[in-house]
Amino acid sequence: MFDRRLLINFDWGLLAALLMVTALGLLNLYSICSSSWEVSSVYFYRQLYWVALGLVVIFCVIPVNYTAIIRYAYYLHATSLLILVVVILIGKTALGSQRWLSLGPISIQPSELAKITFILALCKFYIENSSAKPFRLIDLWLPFFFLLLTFFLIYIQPDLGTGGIIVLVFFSLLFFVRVDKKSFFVFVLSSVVFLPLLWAFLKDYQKKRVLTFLNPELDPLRSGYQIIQSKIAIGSGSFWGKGFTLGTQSQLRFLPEQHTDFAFSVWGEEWGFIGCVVLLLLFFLVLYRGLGIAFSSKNASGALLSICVVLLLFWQIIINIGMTIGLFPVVGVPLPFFSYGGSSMLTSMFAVGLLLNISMRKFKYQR
Amino acid sequence: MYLPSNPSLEKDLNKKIPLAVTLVFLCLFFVFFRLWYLQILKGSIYCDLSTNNRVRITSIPAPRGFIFDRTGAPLVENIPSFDLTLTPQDTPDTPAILQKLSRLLQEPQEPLTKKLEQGRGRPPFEPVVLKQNLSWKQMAAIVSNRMDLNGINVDVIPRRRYQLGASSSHLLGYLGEIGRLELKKDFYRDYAHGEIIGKCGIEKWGELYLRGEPGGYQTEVDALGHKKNILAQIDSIPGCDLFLSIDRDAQLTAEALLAGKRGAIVAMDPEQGDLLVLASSPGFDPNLFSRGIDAAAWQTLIRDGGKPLMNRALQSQQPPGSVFKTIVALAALEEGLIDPEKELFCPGAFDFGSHVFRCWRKEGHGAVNLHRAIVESCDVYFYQLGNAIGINTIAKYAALLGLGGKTGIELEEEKAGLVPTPEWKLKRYGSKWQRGETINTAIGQGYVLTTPLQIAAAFCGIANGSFVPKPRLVLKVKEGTETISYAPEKRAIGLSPRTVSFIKDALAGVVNEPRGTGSRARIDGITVAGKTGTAQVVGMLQGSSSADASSVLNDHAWFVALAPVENPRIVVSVFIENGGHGGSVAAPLAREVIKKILHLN
Repeated sequence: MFDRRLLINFDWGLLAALLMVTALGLLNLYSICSSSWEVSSVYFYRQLYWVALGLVVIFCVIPVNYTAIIRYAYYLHATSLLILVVVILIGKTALGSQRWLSLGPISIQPSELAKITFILALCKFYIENSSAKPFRLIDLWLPFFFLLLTFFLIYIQPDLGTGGIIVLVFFSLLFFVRVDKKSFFVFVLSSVVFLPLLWAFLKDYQKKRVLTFLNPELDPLRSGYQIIQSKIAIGSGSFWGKGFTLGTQSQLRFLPEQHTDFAFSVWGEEWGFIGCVVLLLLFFLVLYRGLGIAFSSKNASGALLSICVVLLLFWQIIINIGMTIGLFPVVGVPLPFFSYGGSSMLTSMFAVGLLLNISMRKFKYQR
Repeated sequence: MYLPSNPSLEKDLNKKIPLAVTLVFLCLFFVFFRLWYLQILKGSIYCDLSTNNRVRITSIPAPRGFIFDRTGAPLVENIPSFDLTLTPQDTPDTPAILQKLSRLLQEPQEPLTKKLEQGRGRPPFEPVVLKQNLSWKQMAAIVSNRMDLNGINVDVIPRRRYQLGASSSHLLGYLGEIGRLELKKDFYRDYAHGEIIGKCGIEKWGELYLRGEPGGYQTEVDALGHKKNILAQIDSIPGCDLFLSIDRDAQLTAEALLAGKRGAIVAMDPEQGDLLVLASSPGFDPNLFSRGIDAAAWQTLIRDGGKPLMNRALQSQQPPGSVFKTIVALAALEEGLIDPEKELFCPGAFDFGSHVFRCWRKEGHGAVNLHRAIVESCDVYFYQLGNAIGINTIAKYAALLGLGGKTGIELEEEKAGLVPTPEWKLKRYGSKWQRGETINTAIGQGYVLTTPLQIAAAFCGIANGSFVPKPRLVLKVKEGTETISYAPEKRAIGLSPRTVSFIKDALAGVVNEPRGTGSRARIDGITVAGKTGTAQVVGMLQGSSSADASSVLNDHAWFVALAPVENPRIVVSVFIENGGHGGSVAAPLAREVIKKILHLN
């Protein structure tokens, strides 16, 4: 029997904020398609299809109780790691081909899938193992093992952006669970000691790559150039923006990824400060509602899962926008719901589907 | 129902959530503040930058490495070339500008317009090259008038200059724009669209060494599209230099000898495997390709019936003719199947079953032993010898000397040739090997196919008696202060010294004894040894050789020489397509090449 209380607690505000961000993303993509000659309008229609599919994903996730999903989290994560390995092996044999997993008409990046199953696995671990006694570092060997394995497989895809996101989610989650302070301090100290050692082992060109990553100005012909152009685009938007489809930066030179990683730059140029603030507010609303769901959830699983989802979205938003305004190095992280890209859209929708799922079931179960 | 309750965790989380909300808010507020800084505070500056958006990336291709010969004499160098470019976005009134340009260059306007139209469909900020290789005068005229020429720039680009002629074009190779299929290959993963790469020959083999590392400028240009100042620059790293085994003087001699002919000359050091000469004719002017060839010139080259793009030294697969008798003799001796002193009678033809195999000398050679049979190249003797030792023995020794397989030279376009066996024939044609075919193979006719390079390498094995060297074209690569040297590679063949000295003696007889077929390779002062070959072209009737050297049905002329025979320092193989008799056409060429390499007059 479908419980009517499920509907009563549905978080319409979250859904509305999410749909608005998605709609603005489509609007922005339409503008990019119409003015850029590198991005054809095919992308717009394809994105429409992804949005529709994403909504279907949400409505598929909602009826399944999230606790059931957490229960099988290890299996789910193992499966997606397996897919990563398979894709790497296939990618090796078919030289130069992209590392995508093809499921009939839908092809998705397996690293996006792994991102989601990774947080599910983390949730399962903390829920089953947390107690009044704080975790010592040694107690966390399993999550660290998950992290290393997942990061490694995603890193060699290669998808450095997604790899970085899961690391950030992992460590920010440590703040929410009870970790022994002394043990944490030892961890920080040892990484401070070991990093320079590791550095000494790197070859010159590897050092150069790391330095360029941290300071794009060292590579003025590639990422440094992208950042300059992105800053010019956003800055030149001024208060009111240049207007829909009227961005001049976007149709020119800089961004080979203006519809994906640099979509926010185009938005900032065409809609100005006002447009950016509106978008920021909508994102804040999504995150705020997410944390609200965590707070009002009546059990630890719901709260922890909500927090994980919020962290995942939060870091992607901050890293992506931060990159376009020159606060972070250029890494390939899409802006959730806003950038072009099917895998990102589906996983973000799935993540929010989990939030909606938890919000609906915030009362205690009897069954 | 799976619902682990974890009150302590729940309590922890609920305590920390308000703090999390605050942190999220602060982070987004920081972004908000940064946006305010960029869009409100600095908005007008960025607006300016954007309306005059003038930050450009120009890549600087690295100067390609030089190619030298074994003595350090340059074979390929770079010279500066001045290119006229137009950036569509910066050129408001294109027709007027083109008109001005045509006046300044003192050249018609059409080619310029055509070039510009070819550049359509590319981003408007990407410069289109209107004309390559401006003269000094034209360059000066453009530069002094540049204030009137919006969006026009003169770029200095290094251009390839090949110091050798057309017959060395296959060896050195040529450059061309990277293709779509090549871009997809892992080998070219660092390459971008429009980059110029080595397409064949040494230019292709050494691509990764020669290329260097491209650099680039990040420049600010003014409203007219002229470069104003350089914001950042990454210097290119020049490519490495290659040192080849080629002897430039000998190579030029070979080129001159091949002029007007179709064929190839290969000269090889039998100890190290160094290729001193690798020439193929006809060729093409590699300077045509120095910046990528245009479509019309390319079409002419590929439609040419003389196949100028084919490197005959390693791609021309033809029957070796009588040159092959050397290998048949070697096989028979090494297996101890014959008494070399036993004489056979040559009446001018050999009856086998219903077929009559003719000797090239209609009146016959009379009674000949193995030595005489090689010297006079008696077909009838070898028909019988071949028939006696069988195809498998012949094939075994041909393969031992490297025939029917690639020699492993650096140039990947090399062809493998063919040494037929009964198994091969069954697989290829589904029919049984006939003994008549063995007889035909014994004089280097029928299915057997070799390249001039294979013949040279095989005779290096005969020259030193103990190993077949792998042909070596690249001696070293100089990478800054470091040098990579390539060691010679040798494949042992283990022939008995008696066999080798018998064969060498007979080959010396070919050149130096009365009635020897290779007398025209004779050089005063040293003993040259060699073997002639006159390979019949399929479809040509036996014995009706016409004197017309240009006929495509005429025999192919072969000559392979080793000198001096006592202690061979050089092996030369000459192949002239439809040239006629090996003795009269190919032998004199081998003689000249040997004289040049050994510095004899």
